Amino acid sequence: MTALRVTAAAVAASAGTLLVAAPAAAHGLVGKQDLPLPRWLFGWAAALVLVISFVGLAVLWTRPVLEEAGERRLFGIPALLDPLAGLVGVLCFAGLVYAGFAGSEVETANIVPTTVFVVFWVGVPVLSVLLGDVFRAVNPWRAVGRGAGWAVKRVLGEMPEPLPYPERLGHWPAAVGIFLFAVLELVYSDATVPSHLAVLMLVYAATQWMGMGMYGTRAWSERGDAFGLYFGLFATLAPLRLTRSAVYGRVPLSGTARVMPLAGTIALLSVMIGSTSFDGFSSTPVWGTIAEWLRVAFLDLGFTLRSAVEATFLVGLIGSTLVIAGLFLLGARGVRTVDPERRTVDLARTFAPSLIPIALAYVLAHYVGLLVYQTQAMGYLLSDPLGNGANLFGTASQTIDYGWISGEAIWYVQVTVLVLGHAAGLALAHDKALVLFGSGRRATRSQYWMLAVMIAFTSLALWLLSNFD
Amino acid sequence: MVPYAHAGHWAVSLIYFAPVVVIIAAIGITSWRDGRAEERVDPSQGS
Repeated sequence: MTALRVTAAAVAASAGTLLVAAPAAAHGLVGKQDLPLPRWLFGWAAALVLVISFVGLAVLWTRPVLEEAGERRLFGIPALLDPLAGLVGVLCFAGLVYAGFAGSEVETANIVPTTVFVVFWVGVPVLSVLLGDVFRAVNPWRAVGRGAGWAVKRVLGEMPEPLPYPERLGHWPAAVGIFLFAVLELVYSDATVPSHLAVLMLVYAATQWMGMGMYGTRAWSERGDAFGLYFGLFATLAPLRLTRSAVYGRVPLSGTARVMPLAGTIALLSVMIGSTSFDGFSSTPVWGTIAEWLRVAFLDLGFTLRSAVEATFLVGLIGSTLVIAGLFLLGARGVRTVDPERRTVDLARTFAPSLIPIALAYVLAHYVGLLVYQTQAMGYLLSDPLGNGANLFGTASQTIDYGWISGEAIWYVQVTVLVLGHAAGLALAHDKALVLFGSGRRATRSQYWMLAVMIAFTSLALWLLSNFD
Repeated sequence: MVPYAHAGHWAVSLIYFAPVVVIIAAIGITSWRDGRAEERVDPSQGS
């Protein structure tokens, strides 16, 4: 019996590894790296940079700057551009759903998987941090919601008043939405099957329209739309703010300092960082041994091989998210050393925006290889979106050039992005501490444990990245 | 237990987290010193 179980476990472990190895490897494309120093030394150097940044902030940054920074109007936008952008978004969404159902089921031949997991999930955050909330302009669910509202108003004369958005709901719908996307990406075995993605896109759209119908397009888009919020939070880091009528310039990070955390904001940001962490962690030998043990345990409980692998990864994803949330709560608990009257959870919520640049750093550092290599696939996928041999723009025979950026360059980009992201997190937390505690010395003392948390996040990220080679 | 059987994999990774240990130790010492300094200041404020 025992021998049978051991054999089954060994087969399950091997098969499970095969089931998950391909997507896991695809997520962290880096190429061969030949670095002059051991990678852990980069981690130590990054930690040192953060300590120096912390001291620099304490000495040179003695009054709140980010929360009080203004913005200035750069130029106006024609009124027609907003509905046009929405229309483009709706057409792209409809085209992708069509490609998912009508196109090839081969993930590399159909445009849908690359668009969803590379262009949408990784590319849009990069655009958002450079140009502001571009997704809001083309958000197809919001465009349809607004269009429907406009049509109803034209027909009925006035819109029925939506329900007030419940305060306790806060960002929880968005947190759940991003968690479910992470489950799709990291747990579900058929995540890249185009027709499955098309179904899920429709399910997501329907959920958004239900939310908008109940609470109004604006309230739901700003709080409940998982992707709208995911990109919108990254866009707060940008030096530009886009509105329907104008583009405004502002101090980078000042938009983030003004983010109003709600119920579920910490959960949302923890899922954002935790899911990326788990994507990296699932490639480490440490996870290999834990996953092996978990798979055997699930098989013993009567799970099929596939469901045992998926349950194992689900446990890992939840665990990673809880570790990130726990670390951040520890940092917030440390703030209580200078203000024991405040509750840890309130302090955590107050300082939650400092996690936004860290979430972006994690996404960029982890997926930069995927972005620079796999985005090139769009060259041939746009010409042959269904994978049926079409050549709409004459680029169907293009290939991916894996040589245009070296593995070493990717590593340096990863380290730089991580250090900048965490330094930005420290600056945001320091600025908020100055608002809360006034005196520079008290504000600095409140951030000791937050510094430890930032160094822990940096060390964790570099350790996770060091496992790709 | 399988995880313990591969302790070598875990141990090598710990070097990445050495700065975290150092910073926690530094914060611990700083907090202890701050506490002692406050204790020394308090009696003189009372007199």
